[in-house]
Amino acid sequence: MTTESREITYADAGVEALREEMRRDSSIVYIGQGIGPRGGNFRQTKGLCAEFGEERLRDTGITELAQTGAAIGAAMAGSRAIVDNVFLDFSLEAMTQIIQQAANAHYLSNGKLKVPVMIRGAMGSVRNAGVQHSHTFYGWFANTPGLKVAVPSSPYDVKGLMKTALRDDCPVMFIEHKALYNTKGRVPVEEYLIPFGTASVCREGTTATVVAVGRMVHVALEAADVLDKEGISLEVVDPRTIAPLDRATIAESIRKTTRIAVVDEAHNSCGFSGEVFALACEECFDSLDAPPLRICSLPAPNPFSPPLDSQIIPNAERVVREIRDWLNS
Amino acid sequence: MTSQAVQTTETKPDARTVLDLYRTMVRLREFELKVQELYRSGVLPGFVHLYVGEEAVAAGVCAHLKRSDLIWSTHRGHGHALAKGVPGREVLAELWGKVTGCSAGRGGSMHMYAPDYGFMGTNGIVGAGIPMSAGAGLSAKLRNSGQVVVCFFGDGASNTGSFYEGINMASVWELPVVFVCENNLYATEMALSRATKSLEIAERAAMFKMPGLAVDGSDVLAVYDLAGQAVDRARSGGGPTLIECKTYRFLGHHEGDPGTNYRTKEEVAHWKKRDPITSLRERAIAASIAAAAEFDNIDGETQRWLDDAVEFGRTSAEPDPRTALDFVW
Amino acid sequence: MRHDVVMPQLGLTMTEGSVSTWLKKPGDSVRKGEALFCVETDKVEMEVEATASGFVAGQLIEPQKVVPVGTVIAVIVDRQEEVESIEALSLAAAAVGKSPLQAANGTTALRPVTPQYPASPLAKRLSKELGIDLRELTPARGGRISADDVHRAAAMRRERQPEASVNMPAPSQPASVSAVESQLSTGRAVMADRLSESFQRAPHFYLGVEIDATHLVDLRNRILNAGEKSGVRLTYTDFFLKAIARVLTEYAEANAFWKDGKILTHGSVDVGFAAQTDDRLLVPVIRGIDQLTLLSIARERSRLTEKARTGKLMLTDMEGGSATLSNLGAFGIDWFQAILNPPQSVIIATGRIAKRPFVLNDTLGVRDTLMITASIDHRVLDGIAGARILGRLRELLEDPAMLLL
Repeated sequence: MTTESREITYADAGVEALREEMRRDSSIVYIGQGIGPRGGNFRQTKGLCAEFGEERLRDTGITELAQTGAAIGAAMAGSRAIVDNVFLDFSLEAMTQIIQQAANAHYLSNGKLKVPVMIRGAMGSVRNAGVQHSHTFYGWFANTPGLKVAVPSSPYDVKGLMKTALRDDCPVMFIEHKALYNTKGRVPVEEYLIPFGTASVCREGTTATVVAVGRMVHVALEAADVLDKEGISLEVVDPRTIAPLDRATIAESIRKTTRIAVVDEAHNSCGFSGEVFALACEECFDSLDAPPLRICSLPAPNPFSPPLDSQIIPNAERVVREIRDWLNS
Repeated sequence: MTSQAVQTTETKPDARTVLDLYRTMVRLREFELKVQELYRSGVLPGFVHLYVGEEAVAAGVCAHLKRSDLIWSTHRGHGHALAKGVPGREVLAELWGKVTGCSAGRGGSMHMYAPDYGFMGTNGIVGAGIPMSAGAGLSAKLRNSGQVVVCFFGDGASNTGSFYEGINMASVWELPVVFVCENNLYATEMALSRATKSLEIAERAAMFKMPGLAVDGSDVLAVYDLAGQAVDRARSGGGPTLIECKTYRFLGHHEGDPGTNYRTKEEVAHWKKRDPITSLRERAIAASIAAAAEFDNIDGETQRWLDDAVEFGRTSAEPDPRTALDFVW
Repeated sequence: MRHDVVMPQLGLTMTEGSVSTWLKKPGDSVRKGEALFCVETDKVEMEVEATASGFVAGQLIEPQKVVPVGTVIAVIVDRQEEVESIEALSLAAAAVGKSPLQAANGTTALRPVTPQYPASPLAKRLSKELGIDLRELTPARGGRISADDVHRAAAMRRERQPEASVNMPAPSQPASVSAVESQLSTGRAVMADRLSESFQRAPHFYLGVEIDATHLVDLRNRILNAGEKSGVRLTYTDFFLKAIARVLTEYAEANAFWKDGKILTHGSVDVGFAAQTDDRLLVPVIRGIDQLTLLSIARERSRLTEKARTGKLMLTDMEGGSATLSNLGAFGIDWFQAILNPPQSVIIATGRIAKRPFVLNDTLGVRDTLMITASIDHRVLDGIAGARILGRLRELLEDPAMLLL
């Protein structure tokens, strides 16, 4: 960040990106529930309807399947489309359109068709919302060839990545974290884009690399501060996009620290954390001085009651404890 | 058996229209029979679902479409592709998996795209095209392009969630889409009468306050007439129409299915007697609209066209394996 | 059920050993308590009994292969049918965990139990690059050898072996003579290591005196018969030992040794003496020698020498010791400088008592004289302290009647 910056919320960062890109590209149409005059459940489209009108910000009924399919069709037909399913969980209603249609059309048409659609939905748990509103299956999309997956953890990342998404001709899953919408961060006044496939080293360190996604980036940073006082210096790396994944930055960090831990709100089984382990073995095997560690949501559907919920999802205290034990084992 | 059907209009169809329609239908017929022959000889990989018997629908609808209009097709889509203007060579080469196919061999029968001709793909997922068509209609409307979008689907799709969500969206947003239901009474081996109590699919449009019209799918002139009205309505901003074409496939669901385990021989024979191609020819000759020789010419011309397509398909190169990872993103 | 047979710990300081002979082969039956194999350490060779009854199974570790104490070297199974089921012997210790004696800096030289630990991929790579044997390492933390452990071992080794000058050309062999390798037993190999280490680590300095041995010779001659009546033949070694014991009692600073940057004083006075056997030097120790009469010392010295000669010395006979006496008088040596027996700080080397020119009362004459050379660890004692000690030794031996006091 070079020039002047100011503090804005994670939600506002997205609004800024949308405003700038919708001004720049008149073909952008945005559909979803409550994203029009209401400004979005998470204020994620606040003020846009007033500027661009209901033609370009279209409220839908409860129709994730049709609205996602429509966004895909609109994109294939020549518009740039955004569908906001608001909760990543509700994208489940539209999975067939995402996986069977959007991901494939460019490839199967041998490059003739482009599908410039951004599919937006927030993941993660907030306020004990319960399992149906707390999913973190961003990894599923990264496991599907043809889709790109962005998982911003800060206002700066939201704006930079969303602008890139809205200029990318590929289908992009833009997966924010619900609990971060009201958090604040510095965002430059001047225009900037964050290319996909560029991880961010949020905190430099020497003892171990910690890769974290979404809200867990903040949990990892909090734990890093605590462990710093014990002489444990964590390097926190935020991939920012899971597909494409900045393997080089992660590998370089692991080679430097010789140890890798992952903090992931997704469940451990068959997820992104396993992907990082694979990367560590594939690219850094001879540099590893300890087995990899992952601190993930425990394998149970997120329960409602706060003491149960806090058991499931990683928090700073658990991260501190597990990293400390790991380094002493 | 069906009861309600819209009659042809009183105006006498001109020779040109009749011969063009005939040509289209004959091409579709001969092409599919040739595909069956090639498939049975083992040279075509994958699966094929043949359109034999339903030619009047594709021919009657697509006759009204410009190259820039868009259509979404089904798993039984060779007829749609050819009727939309995709060259026979490219369709056959695609079925053959050759690099000269419209999707360079990547799609095959159920995933062939030819956006240069407004052909937005056959599709292996029943009903998938309905939401996408609505979205394309939205794009056309926003861009003021004057395009019309046609979505073909079967009676099977009429019971999917996509049907209701997609058509509802098209109706509430008044999109320039013509939804063409090819009701051939069976979804794979499931008779419509066992799948739903709502056997008059066109009537379902009423719930969306949208025009819904049924037509004898074996009468190409009737289809032509009705489709013309629907396309005009869409193009002039009048919104979507649902057309139900009552038709029948003479062959099984896919090549390999005899189509007689769940259908009676009598039923098949009944529909074969109402062959859309022979009935048009007979009616036209009887009404002195065109002479037998002109129809014969078209038959001969079709044979040459088909031979050329077969030779093209047979002699074309296969895709270079090194291109297997191109165009994923 | 299988019973692991491990390399036993046969003395407090033993860290590794090898099987010199197997007394059973795979398939043989064995009874608990029956001799199963012989072990060779740097000090001794001895038989080891089976700790379980059954049948010897699997592969036996090959003789002469040096392994850390605790390594599985054979397996005994309960039933003959199980003999085939034991596959090739794994050298990994059965259990890997934190040793209760684990020190924070993880040095392995004096560690009594060293099972094999797994190593991280990075540690494995570094060990190859740096030429460190992972089997010699114990993790400083946890159950896995880490890169730090390897780096530390490499650093320690560098301390012990200062770099050879790179400018010196390698000595060449004359073309007509080729060197022939002698078979080194484990004992000699380990002794070579220990002495090298001692010589390099402890800064040796040497003090020598030529003493007038006239009275010593005279005394010994007078009480020789009395000694023999008591069943023991007194030798000059016994007098030397008694004198050294007295000196160590009077000068506590000589009864001390250097360890990890500190000087530690022994709790007792024990003196070892070099006893030569066929192929190696053994140093049995006489315990609490300051409490023993000359005769008792002689008896003990005699007993231990016999044990050494017949190969019956136990490790416990040779452990510890405040100082050592090495007497090469019987071999015709006038004087020599001995290498300290680690971790001791003093070793006394005596030559032969012989008639030599000697100045007494400004007159050159001929006397029985004895050369005594003390090798001293300069970290523990300096020149003046050494001189005092050697001076007192001389006093006691020039006038041995002082030993009565």
